[in-house]
Amino acid sequence: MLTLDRLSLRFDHQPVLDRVSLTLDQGRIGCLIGPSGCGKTSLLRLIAGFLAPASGRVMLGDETVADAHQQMPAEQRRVGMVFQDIALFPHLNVTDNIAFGLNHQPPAARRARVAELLALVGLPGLGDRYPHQLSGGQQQRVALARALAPKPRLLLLDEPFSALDAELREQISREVRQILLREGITALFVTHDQNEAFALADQLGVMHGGRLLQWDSPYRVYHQPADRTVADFIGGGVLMPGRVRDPDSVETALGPLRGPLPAGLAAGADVDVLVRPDDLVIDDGGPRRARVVECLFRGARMLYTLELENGQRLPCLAPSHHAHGPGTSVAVRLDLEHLVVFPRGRG
Amino acid sequence: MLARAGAGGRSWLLLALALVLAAPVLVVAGSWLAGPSPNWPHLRATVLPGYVWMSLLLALGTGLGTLVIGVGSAWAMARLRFPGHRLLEWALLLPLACPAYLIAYTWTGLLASEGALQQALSVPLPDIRGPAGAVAMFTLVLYPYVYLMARAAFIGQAALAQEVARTLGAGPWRRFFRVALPLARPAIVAGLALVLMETLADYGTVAYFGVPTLSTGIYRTWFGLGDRLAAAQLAGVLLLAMVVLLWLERHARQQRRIAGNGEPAPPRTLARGPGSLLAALLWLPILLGFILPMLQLLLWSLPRWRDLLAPDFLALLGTSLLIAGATAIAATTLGLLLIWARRLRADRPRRAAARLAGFGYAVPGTVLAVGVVMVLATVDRGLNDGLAALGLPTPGLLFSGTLFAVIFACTVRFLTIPVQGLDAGLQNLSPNLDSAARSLGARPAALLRRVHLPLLRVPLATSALLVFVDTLKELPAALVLRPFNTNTLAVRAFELASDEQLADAALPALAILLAGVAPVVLLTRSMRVPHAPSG
Repeated sequence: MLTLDRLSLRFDHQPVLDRVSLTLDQGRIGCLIGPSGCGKTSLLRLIAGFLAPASGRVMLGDETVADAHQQMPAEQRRVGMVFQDIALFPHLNVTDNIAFGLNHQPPAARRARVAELLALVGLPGLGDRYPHQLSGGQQQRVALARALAPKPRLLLLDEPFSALDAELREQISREVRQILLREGITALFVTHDQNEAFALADQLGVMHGGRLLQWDSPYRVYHQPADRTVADFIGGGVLMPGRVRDPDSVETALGPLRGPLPAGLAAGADVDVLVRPDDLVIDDGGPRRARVVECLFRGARMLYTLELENGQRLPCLAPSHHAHGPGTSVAVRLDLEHLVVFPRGRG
Repeated sequence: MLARAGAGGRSWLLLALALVLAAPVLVVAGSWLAGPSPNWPHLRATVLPGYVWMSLLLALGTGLGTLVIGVGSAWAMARLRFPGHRLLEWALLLPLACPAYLIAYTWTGLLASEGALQQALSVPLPDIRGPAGAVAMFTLVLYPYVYLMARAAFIGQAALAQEVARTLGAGPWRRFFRVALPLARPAIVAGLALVLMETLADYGTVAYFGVPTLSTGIYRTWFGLGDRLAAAQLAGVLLLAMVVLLWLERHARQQRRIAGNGEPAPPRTLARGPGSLLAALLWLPILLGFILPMLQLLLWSLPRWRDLLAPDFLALLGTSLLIAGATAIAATTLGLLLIWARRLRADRPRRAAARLAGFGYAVPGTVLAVGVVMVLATVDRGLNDGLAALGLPTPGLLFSGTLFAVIFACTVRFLTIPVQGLDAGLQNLSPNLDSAARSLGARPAALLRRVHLPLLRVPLATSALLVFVDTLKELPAALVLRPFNTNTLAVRAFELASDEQLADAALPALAILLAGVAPVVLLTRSMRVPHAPSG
């Protein structure tokens, strides 16, 4: 449905987006994640038609809607958008907000569509309220209904839940995913919240410095990050030094680790191995000992920082039935499903 | 697939429009390019030093006067509570309704030997027709600018700054001079810059009092000496002073400090005795700057109330309302066009156009009149010559000899008001509202009609009203540019007063004064309510 082909963008000759390519199939939900300033919001605004690319192409279905020479005006693209600051029209009530994009339809059809959407987002009976009379969560639902009303080809959502508090955010994001699936909408989100991204997305993209580093399923982005930056940004792991022993194993402070290695790594080469907090298990029968440096209580889990004998520090997420205080020694074992190895000194 | 062609071309059209509106100012500024007028050495040797010296003197005196009254009253209103505080809060703005030239002639009447005050007090009163009197008049009507800015700054100062100073052992005087005043200084300077701009721009007061300043000098050089180039060059000198003041004001605004976040200091309630004394003191400038002149005007008007319906007065009123109404519509529409176009697409020409449109307020009416005549006379000459060359009938002075000239001048001068008001109004609206509307299929025209206009109702109405009233009060531009035998309220009041027919001038003067109260009421409302919900 949505195809971006080597899309680049510049502001005042500063590159903002650098050859971004991706495809999002009809009815799928995509999510772009990255630190602030990585260009993810600019990418959404470019797809919506508020910015023009320096080079590359934006396609909706088979139709090119923007390239370096010609851009279809935003108002003709039929691309809906939900904004970070919600941006409901303050002078219109809920009904008129939702009906804003339906002004070419006969009144009866308009009323029916508004009623349908109010029911869909769970706000029947609130049509006469004005935005300032609604809670943050209600406003966000109205914004979604407004964007969905004209049946857009694609829905863009720019950090739609960041104005909500943490609890509400999770609930609303779940609801939104269900609404989008039910309506069969193709949608592209932007967020900087990993949990939100994992919960919402069929396809996940990690952006950094204007480039799309990886565009994949959330599972693969987490377990098979394309490069160090992705590994660093997703999942709170650390990179632990190791040395290649033979074509399918690496020697580390936690012993030899087996698994497929990137091609072209000779025995003896220095590498970094990705260790995630859930890869390290505290186990009395574990082969190595580690000292607890710090422990953070997180309710069901405890996040430890452990130090191995060689001084290497690693995160460890463990059930909180047992508490190990700072300074105590524990036995650990590595439970690595996916071996992720990056050659040292290069990307 | 449609391209957004044409938007760039429209940007240059908008810049051209802004340049047309700025043309009178640019012509004045450019009058020096032709080299000094032949009369210039003569002017420099005789009157120019006196003009400059007197203008500086008036600026200095008025600056000091407004500083004392403005800062003093602002501090008292912000920090103290006493009987009648709420009423004073807006009453202190009332003198703003009075153009200086009106109160100047009213006070002349009040103090005249046969005047009411002289009779009542039976002591000889001073003649105020001189530089000192002019300073007094300016101070009385202009201190509200300093009061407004300083009051907001004092109220905005967090209690913390005061409390920190107290813990460091500073007494009340030291806290005022070392903490409160320095923190409010940028706001006070901004207010002061406005006062000085108004002082230098004044024509009516100094002309009536016979005080020779740059402003009256321009008029005399033009109509006395008949040297339009020299007048334009004098106007250029005045313009330079205005540019400096404008820069000072903008700079000061940017410098405004945030005096710590947090709760403002709670005001102190004065005991009944000192409180009443302070209230009486604060009523003094209002009494002198508004109430007494107002009463005097009423007193003069009452026996003449029948004149209200006389054809003379109705014609006067009609002309004034026509000019003010047309200017209000023109300025608001043009301001909206320039500001809204920049919102739609902030490219370089559109940004330049919006900025150009904001400078008119710094241009005194006399300077503007010179520029407008130079521009419109050229246009008229070109038009007549062109039509004559084609063998067509010539329209005469289509632009420079009609009300168009006055409306054009006032539009240029007051365009700043809608430009600033609408700019602030639009900046309060999230840019995502525009994006949302467009992603829902709204073209630019629909965006304006369905989103921006409904949301800008308040700033639109406010700007239009302010321009209307300011145009009604405008004297020098109307005096110079009005067509033969046409009068406005302001011009008529000034002419009658200048002919010592003080009482006859009262009716038009009262009309202007009453119209002037409207923006004061608006201002007090905006002071009370932080911001009205626009929904």
